Amino acid sequence: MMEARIDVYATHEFGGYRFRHGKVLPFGATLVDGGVNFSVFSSAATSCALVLFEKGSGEPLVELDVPPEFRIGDVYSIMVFDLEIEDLEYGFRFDGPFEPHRGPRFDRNRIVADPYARAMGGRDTWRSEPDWSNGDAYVHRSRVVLDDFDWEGDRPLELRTTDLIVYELHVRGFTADPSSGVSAPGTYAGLREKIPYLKALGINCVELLPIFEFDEWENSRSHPATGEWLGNYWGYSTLGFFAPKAGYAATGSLAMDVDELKTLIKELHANGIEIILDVVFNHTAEGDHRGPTISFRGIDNATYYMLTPEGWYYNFSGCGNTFNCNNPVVRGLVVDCLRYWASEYHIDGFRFDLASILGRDPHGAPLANPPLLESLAYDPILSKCKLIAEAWDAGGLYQVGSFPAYGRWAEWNGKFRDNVRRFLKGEPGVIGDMAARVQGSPDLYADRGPGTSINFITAHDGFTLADLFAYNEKHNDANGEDNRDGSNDNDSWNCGTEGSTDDPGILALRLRLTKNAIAMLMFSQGIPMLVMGDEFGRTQNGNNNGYCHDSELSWVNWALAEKNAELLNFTRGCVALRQAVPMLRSPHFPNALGGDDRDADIDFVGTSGTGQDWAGWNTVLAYRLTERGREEGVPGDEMMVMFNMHWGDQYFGLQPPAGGGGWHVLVNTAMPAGGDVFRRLDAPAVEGPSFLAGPRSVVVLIAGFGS
Amino acid sequence: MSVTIEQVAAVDVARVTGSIDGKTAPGVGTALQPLLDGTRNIVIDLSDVDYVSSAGLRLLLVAYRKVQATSRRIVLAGVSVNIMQVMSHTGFLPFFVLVPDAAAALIALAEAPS
Repeated sequence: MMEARIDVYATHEFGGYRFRHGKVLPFGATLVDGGVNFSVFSSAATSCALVLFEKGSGEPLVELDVPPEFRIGDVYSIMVFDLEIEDLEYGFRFDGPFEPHRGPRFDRNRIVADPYARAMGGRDTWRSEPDWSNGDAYVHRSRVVLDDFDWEGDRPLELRTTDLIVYELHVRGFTADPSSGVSAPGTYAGLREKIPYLKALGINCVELLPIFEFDEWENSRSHPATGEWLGNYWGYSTLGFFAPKAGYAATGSLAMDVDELKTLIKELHANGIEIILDVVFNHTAEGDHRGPTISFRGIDNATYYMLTPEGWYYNFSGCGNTFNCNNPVVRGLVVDCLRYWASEYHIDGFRFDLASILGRDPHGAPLANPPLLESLAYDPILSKCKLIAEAWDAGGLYQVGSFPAYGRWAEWNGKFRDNVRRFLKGEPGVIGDMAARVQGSPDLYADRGPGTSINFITAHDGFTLADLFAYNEKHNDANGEDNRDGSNDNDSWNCGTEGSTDDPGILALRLRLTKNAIAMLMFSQGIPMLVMGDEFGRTQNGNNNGYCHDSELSWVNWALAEKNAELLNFTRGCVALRQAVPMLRSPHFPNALGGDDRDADIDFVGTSGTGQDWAGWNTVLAYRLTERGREEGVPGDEMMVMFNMHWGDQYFGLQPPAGGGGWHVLVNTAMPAGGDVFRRLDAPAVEGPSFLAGPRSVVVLIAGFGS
Repeated sequence: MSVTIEQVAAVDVARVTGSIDGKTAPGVGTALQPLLDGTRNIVIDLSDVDYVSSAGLRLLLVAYRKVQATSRRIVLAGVSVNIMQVMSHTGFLPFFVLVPDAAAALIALAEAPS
């Protein structure tokens, strides 16, 4: 066959490398017929060179000065032929002014990584000790990837938002412990082996802590007392937005991380499980003016970062710098990045770390109509992706309920966490808030629906669920910062003694409170989120800020699944009930005008069965959910939900179900294993016109079914 | 890297020695081409292969699909445990039929297709 193109030939040659003017788009390194096209933006550079390396080699293969005539606008592009890409690493050397007070910080002595690098070398085996001898070496090297993965018909699942049950997990921590029993602990492949567990748990969405390439050695240190390695385990510090964390791949050192991650995603999808990525666009790993020059700083400092008029770095992230998300060029990078992950990796959604920063202008002022958030909300490729905001930042912006949503953005509902925690430990004054939380927070999201509310009680950041009821105070000494780090406001309760105990009364109370928490999550409208291991009592020994620990402290101990089988079975049971009762997953708030026939109406009935006592001292809340009915003659579901957060027993009066058939018990956390959760068809009938709920317990009844 | 080819009964057996990576894969592809263009079933014997890179796995998969597209059959023989693990992690494993060695491959190909 004749060559179809007439422009695939070299016009220049240097050092045995043949090249020509490249295509300006797409940015980054792209495979083309017979070669690789490289394209990179810099508005302030005076020259650009492409530096090619053989993998792992200190000396470059060649350094190709990009001829001035290859620049169009602010974009340098060069197409290089006959490259063996598998062992190829590349970077750029830019020349330009070093005038920090004005913005630019060029350093022509350094090679910098491509902001669009699809893969990065340098940290491809987790915690492999770097060579520290040359501080100026080019470490985080850009790589070229093969993008011909065979998806065999897979695509993002597009599950209805309100049907999601999210499970937040850390790729390494989920299986790193030997108790996981997987063949490749701590990797994408290891997580893939645990898919049957996730499926049995009943969740249908995993949210991964950051998997964009980061440096686990960033700010690494030894604990002054114990000598334990402390580093960046969580990964909230991005080196490259387009590159997967290579060290999370069993095959990372073989440069097959892209295929391994895609294989994981394909198999999650085949099992009906969506995948949401926790993405960190608020800052980068380059830190402040004292930080390393890795990529952005050395390419176009004033474009990529928010700078003060004097050229210092604004620090709305608490991590030294702030990514300049509403600069039009940076906005383009963020949109390109998310489109890439959605289309090339079939990612189902994104959770944006400190997302309020994405709504600030280049000087840090909050925008009423942030262009980036609007662009993402209306993007044609991301239109079915879940977009979830952590609706605050470290600069004091708190936007839970007011995040610029464009009808698209959901939020981590911090108020759900705070109200439920206080309610769980029996504090007065929260039943009014709780009434809103169980409905999906219509007070916060009136015009947006319960699908806006990601309901959570715990997250990676903070106490685990088990620790929430075992510690009054944080215990972060293992972090080596004299217990100064981590939040002091935990709304936790140790149930009588701080930390581990063998007191059966305290242990029983802790277990019951944990079950109460799981039940409140699963029976509230909105989208529940569990954290890995909370379903079987994972502990961090009271540490509420485990970011630096790559150890048993932060890993899932799978032996607990057996030890705490009662809690695991209870969680599975509650997840299954949520799936079995459609009105709990309605996209409309209870009592919504209009809506669908599977929506719920809600009545707060209190202990009398006829009306809730809203007095401030009250710690008891009871309500009735009634599905509006499915079709003529077929009654909808009816449920009674009773939260007795008081320390004493509590009688609840029951009005009979409208559809007849009597009440049946689905959940009763005052009962031991075997009596705490039932399948719908096995639910035992309630005798009499009232129900006696035990101290600090949750009871859920359903009408019509059961024995 | 080297590739030797012999015909055993009605089957072409290609024995690869060395590594199949970005550098050597084109050579392996060239050596296999007559077999892919031929009419017989194929065994690719990897008993003496110590490493298959991403490019190598892609070469094998492309070869595999070309043969299947002509209603012939192809099996991989003697894949080491390490390589098999990499194939598993990266999703390549389910696409192939693997047998322990060339002798088993000939038996597998002699049986009626499933």
